[in-house]
Amino acid sequence: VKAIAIEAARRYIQIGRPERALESLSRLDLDETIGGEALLLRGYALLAMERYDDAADAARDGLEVEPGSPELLYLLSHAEAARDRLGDAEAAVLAALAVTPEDPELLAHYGELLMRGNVLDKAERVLDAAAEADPDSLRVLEKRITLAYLYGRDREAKELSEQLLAIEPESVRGRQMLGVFAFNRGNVRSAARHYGEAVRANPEDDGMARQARSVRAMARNPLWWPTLLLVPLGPAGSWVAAIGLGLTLDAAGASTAAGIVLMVWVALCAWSWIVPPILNRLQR
Amino acid sequence: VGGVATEGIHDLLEPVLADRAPRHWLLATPWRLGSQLYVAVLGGPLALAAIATVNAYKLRLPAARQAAIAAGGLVLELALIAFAQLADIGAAGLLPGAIAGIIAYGFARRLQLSGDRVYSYNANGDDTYASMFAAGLAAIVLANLLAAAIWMRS
Repeated sequence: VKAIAIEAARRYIQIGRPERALESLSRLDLDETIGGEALLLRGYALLAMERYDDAADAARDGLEVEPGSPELLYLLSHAEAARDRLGDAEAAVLAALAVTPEDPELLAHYGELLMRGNVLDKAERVLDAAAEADPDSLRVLEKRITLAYLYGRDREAKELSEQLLAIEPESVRGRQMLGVFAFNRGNVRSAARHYGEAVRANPEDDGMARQARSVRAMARNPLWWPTLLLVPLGPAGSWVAAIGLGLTLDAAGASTAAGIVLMVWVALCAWSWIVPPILNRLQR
Repeated sequence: VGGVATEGIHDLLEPVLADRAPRHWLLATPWRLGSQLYVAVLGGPLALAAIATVNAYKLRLPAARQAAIAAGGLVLELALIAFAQLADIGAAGLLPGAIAGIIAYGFARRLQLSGDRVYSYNANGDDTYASMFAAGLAAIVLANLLAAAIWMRS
């Protein structure tokens, strides 16, 4: 009975039904649920249900039964990270790495924690070690994309995203990054398409769904379009272009045209200050 | 599993995150990088440097980076004053001030970018930036008053 319940719980977690996994585990006797594996699965189910405190408690209970278990420490680290306790999450993953120092999954997770803590140089070294341990790991590749983006190395992040999508066409991270770069080029339709595919690949990600809705609204609502004209040049580039064009026209004797450029520019700026906050509020 | 040098990995396993929490390590909610451009154009490099340095502090960027942002703005402001005096354009030379502000903005933005992206990454898509209206307006007014005072004394 125990083996069946545990296997059922594992399957339910894999297919994204954590409540059913907990139900399955609840059929076990008290003695049977005290095993490390049952507590590990219970912890993952609770983590998926965003009950992070309970997930951390399950991991700690499991560690009392199986002290030093890398799997339970990994779960504990995830639960602590979800509670924004980066120091505790780091302590747990380092304890797991002390047992299995070359585990690419653990190293990738530690790299993620370091990125969230803004320790990017160390994150890069940890992800290099993870890539060396498993050069084909998609999870490590995803983390390297995030790192390149956080560093501001957009070209590298884009190339790595394309590389990831060539291997795993349904990768949420790859689609999201291409969506970001398409948006930064001012290509909001392409961005909406990438975000849409990311949501289809992972419909349970609320943050992604929110971003996808926002970008889709920009692509469809003409009130957004004047603002999008400024996006490809970036804020500084837009100002330089407007001032440069105005000065050039003025120097060429076309002062009326220069005045029109200035007025259009001021109108676009005013539009970008006033309209987007209103549209964002209406969308909420 | 590839042949990773275990010694090399052990070097990486020193804890560094004990005092860091993504949503609490910020001393205050930061401002949008894009909004700083308006301060740069209307207030010049000094106003931009003040705002960008405070924002770098909010993003908890290293002290050296905060100092570099402040120093960059100050150097550009001094260069602007020198240029204004040499070219005899006076405090009314708004265009050189705007151009110097844009240059200062480009420099300061580059230095704040990774901190801003880490903040945004932790916010997970939530719109959690503070309004810069009051601080930006104060920086613009003070920087222009200072520039006018310097010009009148020289």
